[in-house]
Amino acid sequence: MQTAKFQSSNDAGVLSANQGSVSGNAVASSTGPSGLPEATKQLAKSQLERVGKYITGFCAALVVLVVVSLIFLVAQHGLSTFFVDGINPIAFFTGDTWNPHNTGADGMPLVGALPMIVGSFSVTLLSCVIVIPFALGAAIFAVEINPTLGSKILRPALELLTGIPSVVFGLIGLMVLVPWVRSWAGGTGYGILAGSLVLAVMVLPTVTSLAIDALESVPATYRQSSYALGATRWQTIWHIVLRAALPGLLTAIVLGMARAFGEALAVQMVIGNAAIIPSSLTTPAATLTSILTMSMGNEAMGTVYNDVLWSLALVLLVMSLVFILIVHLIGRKSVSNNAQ
Amino acid sequence: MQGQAVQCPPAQAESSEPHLETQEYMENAGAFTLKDVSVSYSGETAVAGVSADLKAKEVTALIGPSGCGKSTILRCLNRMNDMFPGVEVGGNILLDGVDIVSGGIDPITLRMRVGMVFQQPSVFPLSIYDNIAYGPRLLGGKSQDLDELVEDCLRKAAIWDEVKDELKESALGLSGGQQQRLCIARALATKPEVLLMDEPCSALDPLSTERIEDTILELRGEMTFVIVTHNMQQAHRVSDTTLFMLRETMERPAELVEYGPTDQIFNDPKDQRTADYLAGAFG
Ligand SMILES: Nc1ncnc2c1ncn2[C@@H]1O[C@H](COP(=O)(O)OP(=O)(O)OP(=O)(O)O)[C@@H](O)[C@H]1O
Ligand SMILES: [Mg+2]
Repeated sequence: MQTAKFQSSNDAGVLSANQGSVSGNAVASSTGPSGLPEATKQLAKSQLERVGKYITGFCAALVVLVVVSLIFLVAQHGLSTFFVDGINPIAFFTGDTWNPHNTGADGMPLVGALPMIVGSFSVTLLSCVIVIPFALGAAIFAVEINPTLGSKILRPALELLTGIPSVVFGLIGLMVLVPWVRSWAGGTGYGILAGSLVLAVMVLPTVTSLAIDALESVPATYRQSSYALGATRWQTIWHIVLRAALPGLLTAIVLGMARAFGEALAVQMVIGNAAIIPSSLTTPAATLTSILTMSMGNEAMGTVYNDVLWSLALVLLVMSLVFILIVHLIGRKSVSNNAQ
Repeated sequence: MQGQAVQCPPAQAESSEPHLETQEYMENAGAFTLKDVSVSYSGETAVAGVSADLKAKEVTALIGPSGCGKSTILRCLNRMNDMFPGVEVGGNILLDGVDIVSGGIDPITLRMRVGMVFQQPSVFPLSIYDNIAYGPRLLGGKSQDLDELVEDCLRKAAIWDEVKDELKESALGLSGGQQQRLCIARALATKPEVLLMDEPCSALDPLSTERIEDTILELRGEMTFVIVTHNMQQAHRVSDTTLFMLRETMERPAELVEYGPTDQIFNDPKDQRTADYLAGAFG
């Protein structure tokens, strides 16, 4: 029993990596003089800890496994386009003709993804440009101008908006925005503009909520110090609050962009899904996501068409990784600034 | 104005005279006259009946136990109380003869004239230079004048030698004591007539404290200081006049027990409560 106890307390010491075996010995010697029941309790406790360690460890491993295999799967299929089917990556990224069932002059399938890449970036950037002033304005109002209204009305409204399924936004876009664009721009009304507006409304709550969090995290002492120097409210907001909140605000925008870039359903409903490089904001276009959702079910696994769709998915995946990377870089930079 | 219950130092009558005589002197002196000042938070009166003269170009210390309204009174002097919802200030506070409570001067102008240094050093997340330049820039200060002003203020706050080579570095990299002196320099940059300090040394080590006291003593004569402190030795060392405030029970608002020349308050207090407090604080 004595050995078992030693064993177990050592184990408990090892459990927390930063304690090391020294503290394990300390535990052992401190419980040394105690009687047998104490030792049994100690054993049961350490067994529980070990079980807990395994269960949580398993969960963590599972998450990592899912992420890794997901990336692996998408990469494997997405890269087959280039390594198995022999498509030139340059042709994929710069080709402006998307017609994978037909072959071009060089005998290769026409898999130019540029229209979708352009479409995706256009709707993302444009929706971002539309959202930033509104999100920032609403956040400033909610934090700096009228916190009571902000927390009583704006916050709940944002939560409600966040919870609305994207298909509802798509539907409203289809029924209201597309006819509205058509009424003044002519044509069908489908296109980058309609897509961007729908996306803007969709990401507005996310960006606004994060912007509110960013402004709220600016210490009140900054504001007080600014006022005490004779600054007006707007001078304080502009020179101090927004500046101090800049990393958080940038993060909010990047996360909004990531969401807009990856959104499929709502965009697909209003963009027109024509895989051509758009000549204007109000002519039909396509995004990576909209072409993916439209075509994925129709093509047999292993065909070039199917592989190219995986390549589009790979582009989406890489872009979302880039967005996350940017957020981390912003976070690290602001931490190092503050810790300096 | 003279009908107050508190002790009036003999010097007081003389000090208030120039306000009545020369307009010139009134303009830029930086003297406060408090008349029956009371402050309530959301309807509950925290401080009442404070009447005192804070003399221009001198150092006035506000002392008293925690919760007796020192910070409250201090914040009245540059209307920082405006920032808290539900605060009401009663009575009159005259800055060089102009009532600041009833809005004889707008808060922005007032705060340019009456600077403030807070208990916790709170530098902006900007460079050292930009921290100092912040106030003057609000007024549209020109950049070549700014360099000089920044140096001047940093020198006055006794921190120039430590930071002169890193003016472009983030102010957040400074130590607590350096940050507090930077805050003083920042407050000096708007060329205030009065500097309010709410326990400016409570977060500082003895050496930094000493340097800040030196700064106060050096600038005394150039501007008015009102300093809240829990450190009786500090009040004794730096102040010319001391105000002792007390809130005896929570049912009643805090009051000004007595005020007068610092030596008299410390060596020969007129009120037994002052004597008791000082004895306790020293012991
Ligand atoms: N923002 C506020 N809202 C409500 N009540 C307040 C506020 N600030 C101060 N009070 C109340 O006013 C009274 C005086 O507070 P004040 O902060 O002025 O005391 P103090 O003398 O500065 O104390 P300390 O030495 O602890 O700083 C206290 O009873 C406090 O509860
Ligand atoms: Mg206080």
